Amino acid sequence: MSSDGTPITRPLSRAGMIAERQRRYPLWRLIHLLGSLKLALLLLATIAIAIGAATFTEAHFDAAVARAWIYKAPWFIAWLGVLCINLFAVTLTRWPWQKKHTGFIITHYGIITLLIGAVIGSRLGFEGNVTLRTDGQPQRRIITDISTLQIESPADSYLYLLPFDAKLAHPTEKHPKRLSIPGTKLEMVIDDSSEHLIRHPRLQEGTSPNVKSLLLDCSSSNLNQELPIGLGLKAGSDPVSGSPPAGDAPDRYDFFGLASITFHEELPHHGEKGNELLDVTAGSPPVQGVSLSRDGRLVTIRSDADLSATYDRSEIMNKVLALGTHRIVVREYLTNSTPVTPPSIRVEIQAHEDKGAGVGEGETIADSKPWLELAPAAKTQEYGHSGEIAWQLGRSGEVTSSGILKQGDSMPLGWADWRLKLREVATGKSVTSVMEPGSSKEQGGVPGFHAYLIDPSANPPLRGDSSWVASGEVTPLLLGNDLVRVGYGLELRPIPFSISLKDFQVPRDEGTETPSDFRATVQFKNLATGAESTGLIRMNHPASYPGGLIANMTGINYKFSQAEWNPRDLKETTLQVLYDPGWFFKWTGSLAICLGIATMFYIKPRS
Amino acid sequence: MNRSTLALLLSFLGFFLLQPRTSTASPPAAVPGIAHFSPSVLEMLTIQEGGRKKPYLVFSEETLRSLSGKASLLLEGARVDALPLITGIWMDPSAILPSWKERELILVSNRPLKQLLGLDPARKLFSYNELTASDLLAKKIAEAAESRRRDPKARLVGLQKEASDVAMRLALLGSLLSGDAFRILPPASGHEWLTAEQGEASPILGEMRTSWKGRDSQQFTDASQKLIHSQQTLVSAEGPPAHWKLSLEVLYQKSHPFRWAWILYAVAGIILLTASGGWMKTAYRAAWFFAGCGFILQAVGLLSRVLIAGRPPVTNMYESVIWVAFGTILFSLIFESIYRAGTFLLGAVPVAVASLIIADSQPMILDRSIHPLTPVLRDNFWLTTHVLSITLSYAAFALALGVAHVALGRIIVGKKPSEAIYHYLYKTLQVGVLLLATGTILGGVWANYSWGRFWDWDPKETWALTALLGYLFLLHGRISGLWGGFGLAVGSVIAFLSVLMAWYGVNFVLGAGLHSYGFGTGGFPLVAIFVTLELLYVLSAFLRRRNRRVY
Repeated sequence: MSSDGTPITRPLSRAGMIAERQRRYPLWRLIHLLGSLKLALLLLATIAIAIGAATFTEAHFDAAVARAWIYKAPWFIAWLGVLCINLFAVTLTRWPWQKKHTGFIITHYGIITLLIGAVIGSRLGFEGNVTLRTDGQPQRRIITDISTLQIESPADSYLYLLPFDAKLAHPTEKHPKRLSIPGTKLEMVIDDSSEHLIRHPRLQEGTSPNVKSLLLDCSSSNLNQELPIGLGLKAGSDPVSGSPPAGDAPDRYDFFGLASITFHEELPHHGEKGNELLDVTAGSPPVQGVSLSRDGRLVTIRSDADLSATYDRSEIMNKVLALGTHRIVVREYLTNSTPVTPPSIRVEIQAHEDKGAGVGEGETIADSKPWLELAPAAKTQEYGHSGEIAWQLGRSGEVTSSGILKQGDSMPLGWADWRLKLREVATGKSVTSVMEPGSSKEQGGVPGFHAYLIDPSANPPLRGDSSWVASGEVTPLLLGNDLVRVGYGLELRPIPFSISLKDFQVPRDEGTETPSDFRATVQFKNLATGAESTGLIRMNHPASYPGGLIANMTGINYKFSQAEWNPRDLKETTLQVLYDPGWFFKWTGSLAICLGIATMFYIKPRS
Repeated sequence: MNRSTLALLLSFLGFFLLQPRTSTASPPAAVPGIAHFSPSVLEMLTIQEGGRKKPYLVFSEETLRSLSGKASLLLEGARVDALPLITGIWMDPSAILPSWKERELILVSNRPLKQLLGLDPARKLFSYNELTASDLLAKKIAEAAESRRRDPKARLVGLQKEASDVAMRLALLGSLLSGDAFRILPPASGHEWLTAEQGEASPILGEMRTSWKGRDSQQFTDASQKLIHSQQTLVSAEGPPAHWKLSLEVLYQKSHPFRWAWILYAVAGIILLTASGGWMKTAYRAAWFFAGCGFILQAVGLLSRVLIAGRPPVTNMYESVIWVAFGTILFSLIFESIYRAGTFLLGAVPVAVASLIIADSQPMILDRSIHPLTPVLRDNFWLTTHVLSITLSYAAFALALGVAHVALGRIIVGKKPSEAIYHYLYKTLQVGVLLLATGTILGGVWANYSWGRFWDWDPKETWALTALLGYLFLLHGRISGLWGGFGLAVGSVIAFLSVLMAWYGVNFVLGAGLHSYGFGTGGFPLVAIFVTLELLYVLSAFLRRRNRRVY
């Protein structure tokens, strides 16, 4: 203890003084109790065990659960508060401080400073994200990760906000959550939750007898996937009403952007002289003057007049290229999953006079995908009763097969292993949709909860119809004449400026598709002054607004870092946004901890 | 020499015996085509693969390892190395009797997958045709592809992961057979290199193939040199890396510096263990010499990796295992030069030797190839400061583990450890605590820049903190007098398990969180055995101490 050469009497008297003050003053006794090593050991052990357990919770459930149970749980925060008290008290027990205490004091206060920074950050700051598009509007709001409930009270039409996470609240029929609607005697009862709400088509008795509708089920056993589809024909020709009835479903369904399903009054006629389709394999001799390079990247076209041109395949997909008297369009690029088979392209050769008028060279033709067309198989009046539908499958203006499908029957679509089942055909019913928890085979889905209104004050108590409230939507709940609009979703935070994406680049590792960086050029615009500034966001190099040394050091600053990107759409990027006024305390505390430990271990005070 | 020394010695010998052979005899004549050539003329050919340019030698060894998990294969009873084998596929893709697709080249190691596919569970290697004939495998691969399509970031698990690994191996063989994998010529524009055919070197390749099939060794050598020459003349602005870099990588690949390092460490350890009486001083010097040589060799190996990859050598599990072994020896040598105790070296050697052997012998779990980094890691400043300090703290704690082993070992054999050992242990733990605290905090600061927040209870962050708290608990307990030196030694072993969790467990067991670039699979039984042995060691020290009342 006294290796630093201090007189041997001083530490003794010092220890005696410390013992003496504990004996005499209850406050010092308390300080020594709160700053005791035993408490420190208990804190260290319990915190270590708790957070270790939390990581398993996270692996088992997910991060939100770990957060709710441990990291952000009141008991854990309180326990960290006790840690702060312990850290502070232990520095007081050494009072009056000596030189040898320097490292010890710096370290312990460093931890307190860091924790203060964390408290400030979580109380006054916020985290969120914003998705920007190069062709999109400037954004003025940030999506936080806080689930919120918005209730519009029927009493005053005010919007009431409260944090609510259906998954964490975990309401059940036995243990429902009850929330009173402000300004009324009503209560909302939440009795179930789902992470997987999907809009399902339904047929509903409509107003117009001429509406024709149908329900289809598409399924793929390979993909273990199901897809319910509802289609309705606009009764635009209805001579009586003249206007389309409410709840009308679209007559077209986009099948993952890969194919389309359309519903017609009668099957469209496709000209018998369908455009010719050719398959050209990479590295093979030219087919009708078209050849594809071995790696599938270049397309060469040689016309009768011995003119030839080579194009980058990726640039000319679905564009009309002139070739002598014909026009050709590269419709599809077929790469097999086995790299042993060379890639090929499907080329459409169009007769010049057929389509020349509308489409010029270089223009993109949208409709190159396979399609399914459906139409009532019988006359209007019998449509609903016949239970039959006429279909034709095709691709690029050419019918490949056609037939009649009966209600309840199914058939293969020829799109991978997808099958189509005709669930119901109806007249006079319109297609609506209902939010419901989806089956395990259905894709996508949003979180939400199941709720209804009650009026406990009425005698007998009244109960309204129940409904699923899905995230991102406003759902009306009814009880008698009272209408309560309920919104659910992530809270949006306004920011005092707007941000827009000017450019987004994803450089790749040489010869691969693996990104080596993400470079987003953004423009900030101060909403008050209109002043604009730009920023470059790269991996590990965030952009800040307003930026500058002071703002960056204090964290009173909006910091934008690269978070997500969409490999299929390079016009879009998602940025993580952080506003952290606790940052100054965090980094100074951090610095203090490191310096403090180093001082404690390696710097011996000179006498 | 007492019994425990003998036991340790035997385990060292065991390591030697387990060591895979460093080189193989010259390729025997049994394999058609391959035997007559020294494809080594091609080893310096530059090839673009996996996002970087590398020597053909490295490419062939990495390729065979991904394909079959091995450095060489038995073909018709003869052992063939990667370089001739891959060259054989390139030169004669349409070889018949047997064709490449009928040869057992593709690794399927997962037992449940083999059971599902009805494959012989005793076999490890299967042929392309055998595997592609399986509808069940195709279905599993389709499922895996679908999971990937739905969520490109999803981590495949179980059979899907195994099936997708097999699919990648099948595709790799496919790309070798089609010649698509051999991207050896720089393009006129763009970044993607071309195959010999695309880059208009077809005649040279044709010449090489003819001479290969015709078994004309001289002509093959000439044609190969022509190919290398034409590659060099084609070099544009974005040409192959500098010649010294290629040579260094070939040298690094061939010389196995880490293997020699552990052998030298092991020699140092054996000398320290066996020395007694008047030889002590000489033995200590000799141990220093061997450990020093091993250390220099390892440093050179690490430096080569740094020069080849242009970044600190701590970007995947393999590199971090090597680096921790290095750090353990580094700290032990520093402490030895201060205290001249022998204890540090004796503690560090088993840790370093075991780590390096694991790194060398488990290529499927610890991938030694040099890959381009995921964008978030491409920041040498943060990679150097944060990752190096964290991994060096692991090294210090590994040294503490080693020193604790020495102390507990003495108790087990019935001797009383000196107070000095416990003091050494305390000193080692201090280094670890400072580095772990610094590294964890630096991680927070880096995360604040790259991910936008300082601390978010990511599992890797959390376990680093858990480990830190564990060691702080250990040190504070010592200060409070709750335990003494023995407790410190026991604690150093137990607390190292939390380091193991932060280092290996988060990436390989939990598999959650943002540090996903480090995720991997495998090795769990190995780690489980290690943990069990450690706990047994501690337990036996406890029991000995209680029964003998040694001190």
